[in-house]
Parts: sequence; C-alpha cells; structure tokens
Amino acid sequence: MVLKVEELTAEGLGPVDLEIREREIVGIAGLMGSGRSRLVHTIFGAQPATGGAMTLAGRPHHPRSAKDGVDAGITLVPEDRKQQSLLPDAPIRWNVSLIDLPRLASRGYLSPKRERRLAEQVIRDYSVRCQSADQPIRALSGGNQQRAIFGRAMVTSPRLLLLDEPTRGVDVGAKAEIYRLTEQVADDGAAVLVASSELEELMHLCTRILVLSGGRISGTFNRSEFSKEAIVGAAARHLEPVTTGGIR
Amino acid sequence: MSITATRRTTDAGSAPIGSRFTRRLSETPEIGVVLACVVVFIGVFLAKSSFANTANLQEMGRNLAEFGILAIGESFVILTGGIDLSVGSLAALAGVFASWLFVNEGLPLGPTILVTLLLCAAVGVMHGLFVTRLNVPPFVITLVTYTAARGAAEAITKSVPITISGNGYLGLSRNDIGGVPLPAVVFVLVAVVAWFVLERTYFGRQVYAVGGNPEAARLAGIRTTRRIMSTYVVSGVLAGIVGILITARLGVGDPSVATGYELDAIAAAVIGGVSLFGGQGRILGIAAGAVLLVLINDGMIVLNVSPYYQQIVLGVVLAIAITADRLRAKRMGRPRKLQMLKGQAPGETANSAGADSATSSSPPVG
Repeated sequence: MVLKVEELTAEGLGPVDLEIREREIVGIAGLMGSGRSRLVHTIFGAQPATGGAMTLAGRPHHPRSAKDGVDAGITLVPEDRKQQSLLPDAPIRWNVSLIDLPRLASRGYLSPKRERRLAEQVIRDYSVRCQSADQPIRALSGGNQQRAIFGRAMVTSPRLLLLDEPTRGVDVGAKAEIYRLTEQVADDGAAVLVASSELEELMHLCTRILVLSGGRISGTFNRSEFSKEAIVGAAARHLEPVTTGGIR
Repeated sequence: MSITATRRTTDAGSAPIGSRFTRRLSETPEIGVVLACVVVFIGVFLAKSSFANTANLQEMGRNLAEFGILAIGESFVILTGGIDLSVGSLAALAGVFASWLFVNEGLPLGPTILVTLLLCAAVGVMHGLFVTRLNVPPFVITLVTYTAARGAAEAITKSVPITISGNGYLGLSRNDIGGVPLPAVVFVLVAVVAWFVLERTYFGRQVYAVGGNPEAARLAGIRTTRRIMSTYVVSGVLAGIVGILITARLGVGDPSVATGYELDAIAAAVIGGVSLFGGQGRILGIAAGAVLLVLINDGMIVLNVSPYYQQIVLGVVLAIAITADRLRAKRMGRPRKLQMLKGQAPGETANSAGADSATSSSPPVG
C-alpha cells in the first residue's frame, strides 16, 4: 500500500477515503468543481487538510506544505502548465531541474555540469523537441513543454505521482507518449493518481476510477465495471458538500 | 511525432563559429552595459584626462561601493518580484546608529558593526514577515521603513550629526589595499559572493524561481516564503554596510545622507538587465549598471555639466536601458526560432510561431 487516506477533509472536500497500491493507476473523475484538483492538492500538501488521516508508504503523512509532499516522495504535475508548472522565461534547463534542485546540489553547491547533464538526459529520454537546453521554455510548443514537465517529474522517481489533467492542451502524439510514460512509471513500482475531465483518458489508463461529486466520492468503478453511462451518472449524482470542523 | 534529438545536436554542432559567437553574445545581454561603461570611460577620459588619475579613480571606487552594494541587495529583492524602497533610509539609520554606538556608547568597532548589521537584518526580517505572512505589497511596507528609518536616525542624533574620530572607523573608507580603497574591495567581495550564491547554489536558483513563477516554485517544493524573507534580509544587511561606509567616508553620522539612493540602486539594477517583474537579471549586469551610473555621475562632474542636466542625462540613460530591455525581451527566442524553423514543415512553422506570441491562449499543437 502506497497511500491510504481516511476521512480526509479540506476546504470544499471530503470526507474522502481511498487507497492506492504500488503499480496501480487510479483515476479521479467528476464534473467541474467536484473537487478533483482539491483532492490531489490536499494529498500533496499544497492545500491544508482540515481533518482525517493519511498514511504514505506505511508512515503517517501530514503535509503542511508542498515541500512536505515533495520530501515524502510525491510529485505533482499540476493542471495549468503556464500558471503552475513553468518558469516561462527561464531556460529549459532551469525548468527541468526545478524539483530536483536539493538533490542535484551537494551541500548547497549547484554544479552547472550536473544540471546540464540532467537537462540533456530529460530532453533525450522524453523527446523534448528543442534547439538547446538553454532555450527559454516558453518558445516550445505545448506538447513539448508538457514532455519536459513530465520528464522533470519522472527524474524525481516519485513513489506517488499525482497527475492533474496531464494531457490538457497537447497534441495526439504527445498524448500517447504521456500515456505510455504514465504506464511506465506504474510498471516501475510507483502509484499514480490521475485527475482528469476526459473520461476516455481515465478509462484507457486506470485500473480503478473514483468519481467525485461535491467533494465526496459518489462512485468507485473497477476496470471490469467501466462504463461511460455509469460513471457520468455517478458524477451527476448530487451530494451535498459536508462542512466539517478542523478536527485532526 | 518524430524525434529530433539527433537533429538538434547536429544543428548545434554544424553552426558556423560566427553565428555561435553572436548567439553567445545575444545570450549575454549584460554585454551592452559593459560596452557602455567602456565607451563612457574612454569618452570622458579623452575630454579630460584628470578623470583617470588615481585620486579620482579612488573617489569613484568609493562611490561605486555605495551604489553597487545597495544595487546588489536591491536586486535580490527584485529577483523575487518585490521591491525595497527602504535601502537609502536604512543606510542613513545604520550610519547614525553605528556612529552613536561607537561614539556615544563607546563600543569597539567590531561589535558596533555587528550590532548595526543585526539591526538591519531585523528590519529585513520584518519586511519579509509583512510581505509573506500578511501579504502587504513590498512597495508599501518598505515605504513605511523609508519614512520611519530616517525619522529614527533623526531621533538618535536630535539633529546634531555625530562626529566620529578614530582611525579604526574612518579607516574603513580611507584605507586602501594596494591603492584600491577598502570600500571598493568590499564591493568586489560582495559582488563575488552574490554571484556565487545566485548562480552556483540551489538557494540562488530558488530565488530566481520564486520570482519567475511563485506558484510553480511552491508546487515544486520550494519554501517560497523563506526565500522571499531572506532576500529582504540580504538587502537590509547590505544597506547597513553601505551606511557604515558612508559615515566612515564623511566622518559624521548624519541622518540626511543617502537620500534617494534607493532609486539609484533600482536604476542600476534595471540598467544591468534585472527585470522588475522578477526572475531575471545577473550580478555581472548589476555591477556593470552600478559602474555605468558612477561613471556618468562622476564624468559629468569632471566635465562641469550643470546639475540640472545631470538629472536629465541619468533619466535618459535609464530610459534607454528600459527600452533595450523590452526590445531584447521581444527578440529573445525569436531569431533562434527562425534559424531552427528553416528545415521544418510549414505547418509546424505556423504552430510554433503561435507559441511565441500567444501568452495566455490555449497552447498550440506540437
């Protein structure tokens, strides 16, 4: 078991229970505003939890910031590339090393050589189409930006990978590549949680889909039970958001 | 989607040396400021050779230390997307406070400097707390210190400047190492340390990241509040150093010194290529910006230009620097793109060009 979430609540979310194992890709479906991103951000630590308990790899997980999430071995690929992922004017190199900086540095010293090697590795392994690692990342197309962002998430070798709308604004080719990479990460032993508004995407990728409505889980579907109608039905089921106090 | 990794490397490898050199130049935007420094220096020197005599060079070295150290501190804050308007007033307060400790309280020089810099660091922490915890705009909270620090300096002196005697303190400005005045040595040290921190430590990179996109930095696990806080501390401490150097040069703790220096510091940073939006700018440029300001200031004094025109000239230089910065920002990525696109299909050309201009709309296919 990688992640176990019990009675998790946060602003506009919960109580939510869920479990993810190694090598599992779990999807989160739901309509706009159903709390998909909120759930992902709360597990990561980017949004404070108000109650409940989480266990990550057997240890209690009470992240109070995104930094705690990263330190615990979680990596998030956020929904909005421009607002939440990129340093648009900075070189690809800087963007790619961003999460891995503390590990890349030794005693605070950041070796330009090691950083360049990392960046070139990501560019090669994730087929980022660019002229050099020193190009500003905003000069790349959406698909290539997303490959670079995926690459930087992968090189942190997370035990839990959180994907929020991983294929938004990318072309078909990059999409297929991202699906392949996601499956690869899971095969390598990580747990993956994917929040997406594209049902086909979730049905293609996931072993299990949780449906959120009003911040709570309104349905759980295993692969054999996948059907568009049932999932959409669960998403449309009206659940009143529960407002709970800050018991922890 | 074919993979172009091989193409990419051959492109870079087969580029003619000339174009690689010009690309290198275009990636070193500071070169313009450095060239401007050389041109101004030679120009003034040809008009009046006394400009380059030892006494004047030493005087410029002391001025450079004051502008340059403030500009470096200011730049740390600006890199995170903030601004510190307090540095001039804080320098004045630090100078008065240090001379008060040294003269009235009889503290030895070392502890005097230490206590003064601690005070300045505390002011920096306060700025950082207001900005990060209470979300007060940096402009506003440092404006508070801008006013209050000078008031505090006046309260300490009660309008009677404190006269400093003793070679130890005054020597901070008057002594030299091999002809180079001590303040200039301090400036070089500060610049080297700042360069190392910003370009060779992950702390420095995180400072850039916070300025480049605070939300992306936070979600990448960077403690953005700490980074922001530390830049205000750096700025405060460097303002304290400048305050002490000024009093050592003048021989008095005077609350009215360093008026308007915050604007000079910001100007030096901007001239040196620091973006006021944060996330961009390097020490080489900042130092060159400070050198250029000092050369122009001093050059005009040597050439007996009327003070009215001095202000105008400085304004024009700033305007040129800002224009050059905007033009460079518009060009960045584009000329290199054009090169890259020559061998690509027309459809991709259109898409990638869209990526360049569209800043908010949906990302293009590619």
